[in-house]
Amino acid sequence: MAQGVTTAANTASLCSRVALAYAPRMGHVPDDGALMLRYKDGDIAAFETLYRRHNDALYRYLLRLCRHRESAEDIFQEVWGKIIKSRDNYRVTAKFTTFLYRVAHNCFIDHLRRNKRHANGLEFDVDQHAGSNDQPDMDTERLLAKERLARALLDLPDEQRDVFLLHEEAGLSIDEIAAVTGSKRETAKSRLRYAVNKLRDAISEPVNHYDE
Amino acid sequence: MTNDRDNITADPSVSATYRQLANETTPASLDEKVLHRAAALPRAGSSLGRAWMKPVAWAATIGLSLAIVLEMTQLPQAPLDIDAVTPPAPTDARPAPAPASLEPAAAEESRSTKPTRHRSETGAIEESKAQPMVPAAAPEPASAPEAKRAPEAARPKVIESTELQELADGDLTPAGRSDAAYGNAALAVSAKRMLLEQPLALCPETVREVAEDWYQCIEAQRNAVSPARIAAELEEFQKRFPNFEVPGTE
Repeated sequence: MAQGVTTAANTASLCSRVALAYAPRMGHVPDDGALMLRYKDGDIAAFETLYRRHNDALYRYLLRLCRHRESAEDIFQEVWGKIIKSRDNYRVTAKFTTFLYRVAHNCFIDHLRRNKRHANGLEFDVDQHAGSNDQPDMDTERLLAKERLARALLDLPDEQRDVFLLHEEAGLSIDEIAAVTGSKRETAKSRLRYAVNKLRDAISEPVNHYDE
Repeated sequence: MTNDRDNITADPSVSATYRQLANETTPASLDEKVLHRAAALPRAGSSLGRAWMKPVAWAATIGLSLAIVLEMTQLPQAPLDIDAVTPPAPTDARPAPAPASLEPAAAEESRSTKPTRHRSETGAIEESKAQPMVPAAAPEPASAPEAKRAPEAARPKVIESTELQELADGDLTPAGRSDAAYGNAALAVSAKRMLLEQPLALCPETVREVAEDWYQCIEAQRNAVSPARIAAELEEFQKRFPNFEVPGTE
């Protein structure tokens, strides 16, 4: 009996892996919700696909939101741990990205309440990340723009930075951002507009006033 | 509509610059931890693991319900037995009048039941309420010593009926006893009445042997019991003593 169950599960997993492997070639990209449902049925490969699809964006979101690498990594693990635990109760009621970033947002809020260390000082190395991927042909102006943007982003209020990162990293719309942050649509839109305006000003500003 | 509004807030230069800036990737150690955690979690959601739980839960629920229903149907139903034994109320004429010794017990038994039951047995309750206690209603002859002796001779049976009376009297009132005690006493009354296997008479048999005594007994209870019972008793009296002359008719 147990062997039969194991064999059936292995067969299902194998079929799922094959389907996932050939899905891009066949022009069919499995939906996030479908992947989560497959993982709910025990398909680890589906979760891996889902994870690879969102891990980097989520990591950058948390890294810039927390401004502290260790905290970001802790929250990152916590978020995926909650996603893994919630697989049994998961239902496709909303976009998975909205669900994922809502969990991440709540984890960040909880982290803020638990731990105030990220507010004590800026531990995120702006210069390192701004120039970490320098290319020889990149001109100085673009390099400076990146550096200004990185600094301006870190200087944004938490709410505005959160909204901007949700828009850029997660690709969420205003309505989805409002749903993730638990605010009104107009509030989310206003925050995003303020954030974008500040960042645009920072990029176009020739004088580096952050160093003053 | 929404996307148009979103484009107002977005800025291509800011997005492009941010794309150049945001190139961090998740550390491999972090990926490994998360994926290992995802693979290590037991398959709680496998359908085979829970497939047997719902039918078993339903079967257990149905079995428990049936057991409760069977248990309730097999419970002793003492109050219903009392109702079954209680004679129905006479409407026009009573074919077989009950003996006087047990009638008050039935009356008290009906009185001691709950008010809702009184309402359902209207005729019987009215009759039993109007009937006094047997010792109080015992005939007391006026002058003749034989007539005095006759009720005294009848007393043992009356006393026997008072045993039932005591069972059905104050002890059986809901304030005096609990429902369980009341049920037991009522069962005892019903059993004793079934043992007698004969209807209750208005006057004891010893009194009936002498015409005067029997008549006086009937007259003594004229105001205490219903006219129908008096008429039935008088009819029986006239059958046994057809030549008896009523004292006041001369």
